Amino acid sequence: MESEIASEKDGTKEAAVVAKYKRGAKTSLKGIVNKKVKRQLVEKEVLFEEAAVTASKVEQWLLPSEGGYLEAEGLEDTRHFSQESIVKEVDVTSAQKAFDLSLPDLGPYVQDYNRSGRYLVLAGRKGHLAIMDWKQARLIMELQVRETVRDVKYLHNELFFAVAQKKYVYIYDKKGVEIHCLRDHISPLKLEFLPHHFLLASVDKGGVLRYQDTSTGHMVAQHRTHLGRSGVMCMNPYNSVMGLGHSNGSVTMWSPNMSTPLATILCQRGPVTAVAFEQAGLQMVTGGMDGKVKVWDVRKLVPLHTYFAPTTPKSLDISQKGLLAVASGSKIEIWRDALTSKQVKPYMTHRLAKAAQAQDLSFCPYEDVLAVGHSMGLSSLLVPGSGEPNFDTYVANPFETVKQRREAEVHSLLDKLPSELIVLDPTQVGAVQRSGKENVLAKSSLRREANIANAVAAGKPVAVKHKTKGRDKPSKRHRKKFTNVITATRAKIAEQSAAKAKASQVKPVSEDNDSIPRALARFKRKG
Amino acid sequence: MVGRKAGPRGHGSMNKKQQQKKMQKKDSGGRSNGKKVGPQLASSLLKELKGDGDRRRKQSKEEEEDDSILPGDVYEYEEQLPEEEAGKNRRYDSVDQLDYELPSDFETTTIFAESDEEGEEEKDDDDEEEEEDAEKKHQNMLQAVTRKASEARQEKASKRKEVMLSESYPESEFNLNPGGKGSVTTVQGISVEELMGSLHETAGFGALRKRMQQLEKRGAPVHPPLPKAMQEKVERKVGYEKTRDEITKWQPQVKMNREARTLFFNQKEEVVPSSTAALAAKFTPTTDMEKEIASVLSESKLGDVKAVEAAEALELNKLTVEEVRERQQRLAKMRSLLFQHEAKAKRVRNIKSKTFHRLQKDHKHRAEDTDAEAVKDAALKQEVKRAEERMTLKHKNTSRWAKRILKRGLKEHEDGSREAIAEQLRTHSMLTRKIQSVKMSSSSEESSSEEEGDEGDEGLAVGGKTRARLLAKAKMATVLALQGDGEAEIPTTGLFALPFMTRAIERKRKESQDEALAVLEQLEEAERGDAVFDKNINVGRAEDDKAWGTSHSGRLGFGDMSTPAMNPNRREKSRDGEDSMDEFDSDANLSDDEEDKIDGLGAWQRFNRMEKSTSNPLPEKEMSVAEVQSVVIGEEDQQVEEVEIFLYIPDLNWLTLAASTGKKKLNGKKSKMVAPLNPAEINAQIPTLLASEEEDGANDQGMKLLDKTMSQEELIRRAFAGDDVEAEFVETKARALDEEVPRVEGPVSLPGWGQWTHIQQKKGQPAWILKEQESLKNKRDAALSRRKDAKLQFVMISEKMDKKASKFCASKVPFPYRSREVFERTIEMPIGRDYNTDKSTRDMTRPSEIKKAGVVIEPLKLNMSIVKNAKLDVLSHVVKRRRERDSGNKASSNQLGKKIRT
Repeated sequence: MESEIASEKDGTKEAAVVAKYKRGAKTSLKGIVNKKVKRQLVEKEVLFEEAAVTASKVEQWLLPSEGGYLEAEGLEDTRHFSQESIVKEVDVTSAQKAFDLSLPDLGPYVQDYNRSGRYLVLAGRKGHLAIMDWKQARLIMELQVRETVRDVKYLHNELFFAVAQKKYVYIYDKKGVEIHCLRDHISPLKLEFLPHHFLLASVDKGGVLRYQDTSTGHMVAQHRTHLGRSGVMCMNPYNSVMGLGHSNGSVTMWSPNMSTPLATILCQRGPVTAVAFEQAGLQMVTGGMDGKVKVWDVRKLVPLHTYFAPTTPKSLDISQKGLLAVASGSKIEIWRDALTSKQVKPYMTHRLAKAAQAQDLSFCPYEDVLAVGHSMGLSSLLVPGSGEPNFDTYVANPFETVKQRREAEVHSLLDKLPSELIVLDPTQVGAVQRSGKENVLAKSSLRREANIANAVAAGKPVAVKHKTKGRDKPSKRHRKKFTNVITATRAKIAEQSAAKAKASQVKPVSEDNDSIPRALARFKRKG
Repeated sequence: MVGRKAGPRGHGSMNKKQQQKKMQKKDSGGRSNGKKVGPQLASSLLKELKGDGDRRRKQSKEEEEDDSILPGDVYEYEEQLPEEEAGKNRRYDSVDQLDYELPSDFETTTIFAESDEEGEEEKDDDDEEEEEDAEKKHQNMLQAVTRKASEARQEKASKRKEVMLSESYPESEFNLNPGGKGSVTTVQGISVEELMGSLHETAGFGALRKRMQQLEKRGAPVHPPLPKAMQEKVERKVGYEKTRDEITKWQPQVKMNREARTLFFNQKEEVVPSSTAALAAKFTPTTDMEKEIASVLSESKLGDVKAVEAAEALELNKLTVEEVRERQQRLAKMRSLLFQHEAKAKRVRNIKSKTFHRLQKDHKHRAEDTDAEAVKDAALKQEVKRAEERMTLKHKNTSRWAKRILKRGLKEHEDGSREAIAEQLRTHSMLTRKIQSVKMSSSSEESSSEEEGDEGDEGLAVGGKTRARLLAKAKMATVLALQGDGEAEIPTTGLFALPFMTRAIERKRKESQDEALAVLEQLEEAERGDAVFDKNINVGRAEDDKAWGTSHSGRLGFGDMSTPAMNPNRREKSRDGEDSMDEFDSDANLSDDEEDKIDGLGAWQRFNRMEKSTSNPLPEKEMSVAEVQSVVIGEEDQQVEEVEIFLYIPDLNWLTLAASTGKKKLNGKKSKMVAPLNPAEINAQIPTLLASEEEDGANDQGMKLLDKTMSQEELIRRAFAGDDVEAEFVETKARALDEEVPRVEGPVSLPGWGQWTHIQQKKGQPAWILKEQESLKNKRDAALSRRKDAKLQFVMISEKMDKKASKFCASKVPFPYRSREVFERTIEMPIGRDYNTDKSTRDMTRPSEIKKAGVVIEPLKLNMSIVKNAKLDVLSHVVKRRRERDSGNKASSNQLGKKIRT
């Protein structure tokens, strides 16, 4: 009985996985006249089905690990579990992943993991840069730039990272050698890297968003937001659209293609302090000075839930498995399933020691770890269930060798996407263009005019032949001569008459007409 | 005419005569000779001319010379050819101009006539005779040249003189006997017999004659061939059929190739595999041992592998005579059956008797009754009929015939039509009668009895439990309905927005709410009864029930119904026999922890039960009001926040209300107690409670739910009162919209124009301007309402064209596809290696043709197996259909037989 239930469960799960890989429903073949095309479509559907089924099977076989969460017993509540108690219970290697770096002098710190989650770069506001192989607690490089550092970001692999310094953006390599100084980015506040497009984006004090191609060095786009200083930026990993938070409470979404925002949403009452996107690009979370944390549906742009933070949320991050971390003051809260449904209590909470103020949050990819950069250094917290348990070595390999890294670099460069492909709805790429209704109307009117012109032109120089006795009437000749012209103008006339008819239909019947004899009605003053 | 001719004299007279001849020609032949003639003169003039001529003749012969010298005496007009003759435009019917040579012919006859009449004169004049001879010769020459004319002339001539008949055929070796009698073989009168006659005595004449006789015998008259057009048509038809057959043969193969995902042209040349048999054939024994073995094998006749194989194959291939016979018989039977069936069907089709057909139909029905499948089919058919009847009311005297008859009155008609009408009505009632499903009711009875049997000894208790469950369900539904009622909004637009409609809706709603409340009360009463009953029985069970209760949080939730009350797992459990209601029977054992686990309904019920038992009971009405109150609170939140109200019942008389965040209480400490309960107090308590909870929570709880009544929101509102971001946003949105959907300026009145009189001034803008402006405004509004962000107040979505991205889009649906959806579906699936397994990627990216370098693509060969398969497919369908028919007929015939026997 139990096994049956289990198999049933497996079945439904499998079906769900298959549905995930099917990517949309079949279209009906009704109305397709061409038999060959019809057959081809049927064949295609068969192929798609096969592909979906095999992909789901592969997922089953190759991605067997499942994440787990903290489970409370009896009266316990997971949010009361302290890091110490968790570390006590976990295995040695996992316990090593929870640590505190006490760097009270050069803080507050911001940090970034590389794509595989193996390396960690941290930057103190007062110019301290460091790279760590954090799992082995090995310091790879340490550097003091003697300048304000506002943000740090890894580029396509762990060899390079970009730093937003006082005046410009600098690129350093693994050894701490300054490789580039990007003087186009002036006094940057926040950095983002688009790995598929090789674009480094920065937003500066003046509210200018810049995109620079790191593979060619070209400046791809510079957009003025006209919304003032903005230090809040996050990329939507689903469509690579950049979300910027502004002091007027709105969040704007940008693509390098357009000089105006693709969408603007008024999210908070006060200034927006943090934005985060979910991995699948379905939800966005914004935090504002008003203390609210709001969850938005990114596709419909409607609010889903609202939570309340005790103080202003300073930073937000969403893990690969959808855990939401909120840093407000010295308090870190981690919420589970908070995006899909409204939750009543957080999954975990943590209070930073010595009342350190949190600055930056980042979940480590493929690990159950959350790094918190704060005024007193950096803390690495264990958050069970946050990371994706199965990693794909073709996407991100934490155990990458030098050779593999080189190969991956070449591959990623070959697979680089043009920046023009950044649109709000990526499924539109390659599809039939949906022009706006106005465009369509304009086009159709142009077409009509052209047709009329053609017809008139065709109608004019017709040399009418003289025909035999009965058929050469002048009236007939005239009619013949103007046939084309009439056909062309007919559409216009019909339109006019239709408009007239419509107008006459709507004409209201004045009530007081009855009072006046019909014969005298024409003398009545109109209006 | 002829007689007028004057006697010609001398040279001059001859001239004159020729002239006259010409004149005569004109008269006799009309205008047909193509010679130039004068205009037709008036008769008086002609007379004068004639008279003049006569006079001149009478006057003197000398003068004639002068005449001849001066022929221009008479005006001769040269007229063009008449239109009829010129044959222009084909406007006139063509007439055979048989008299083409008439002048000469006429000349001859007239000459004879003249010679008859004026014989003396001719004799007188030798010169004239000579001349006539010359003319004859000339005529003969003409004759020879133009046969046609002579033919025509011959008829005329033969009437008068046999002698003058000229032959219609020139005499030649091909025209031996023009007057001979015709036979089959004659060409213009020569028969084969005649030709044979001359060969009478020569050798081989007998054989020739025999042959001729044979030919004559055989030579039946041959029909004339069809017209060419017809012939060609027939040929084309036959040719088309032939070609069609020829091409149809290829159809399945071509279809297969067209539909194939990939065509492969990469076959290598076949390498003949060397089989063990082939190796064995080549083997020659060399060593001693091999030789020895070979000899042994040959002795035992096992050496020759081929022979052994052949023998085995033969053995295997052998078909027994019985098998063959059986197969043949089977086939023959099949064939004969098919034939018989066809013949029978044909015969039956041709029978015109209605009675026969009716009988047959009856038999068929009866046959169907016995067969389960047929019964099913018949039922289906009957159902369809019934449905049709219900839809069309075909038999309810709706037909034109029936109407007419009814209009005339039934009495006037003979019995036949009345009967028919009655029959129709009967059919109608049959078809529209309600069906009492006997089976269904019986099955349900069975199942219910089964259930009872299963539960057996538990008997009443379980019955009561199911009842309780039902009651719980019903109550849940009513509560939900109550809630739903409150939530439903009154429409603000349309017909339902009219004041009287809204009033009516309100009234309805109120009524339904009252009703629901009443139902709720009833249910509670019923449940109370149950609970008391259950309590006696199920005390012992409480322990077990705790087990599943652990997963329940023990609160009564409204709004977001993700509470465990809706949990399907729980429902399953309760079906297994552990009813949630049982929990509440073990009051005494319940600790505070366990109370947690009581779900909403449970708490509700529990409350009711307690209330009954306590000395300080809460009136039911009041409680329901309290309930409603809490519901209302839940509804008030238009946003997603929810207020959760806990009903903790630690002791008998105490009811605690607390906000959702008050989890501290779980640890035994009750924060607020309210007693005794009455609705007014509850109302008063709720907000204060919530507020206090918030304040507590803010310190230790961090992020938490928003409450409607929260003062914090108010605080924030105050804090950000200065910058009205919403208004700002609305303003910017309006500006952006102006940019994207620009306002078009309509016509405006010119200053001073139309403002002359005070009447005009009073009128203001002319109507047409206002109208134009209105229409422009409407257009813009329509455009705005079409935008994606039209309904999102605080969202702007740019609808500017992304030119850079648009170059990656298809401007229109590419060729073989017609619709956008279909095309987009074909590109929806990623085909890359990152998203697919290796095999799927290869499958999806395989080209339509695979060609290996150097492989010659040969023209398509007809693959007979494919053709056969295709034919078989078709045949199998046919045979299947026939078999089905046969079986049906057989059944019916059997029935017939039985009937006859009985």
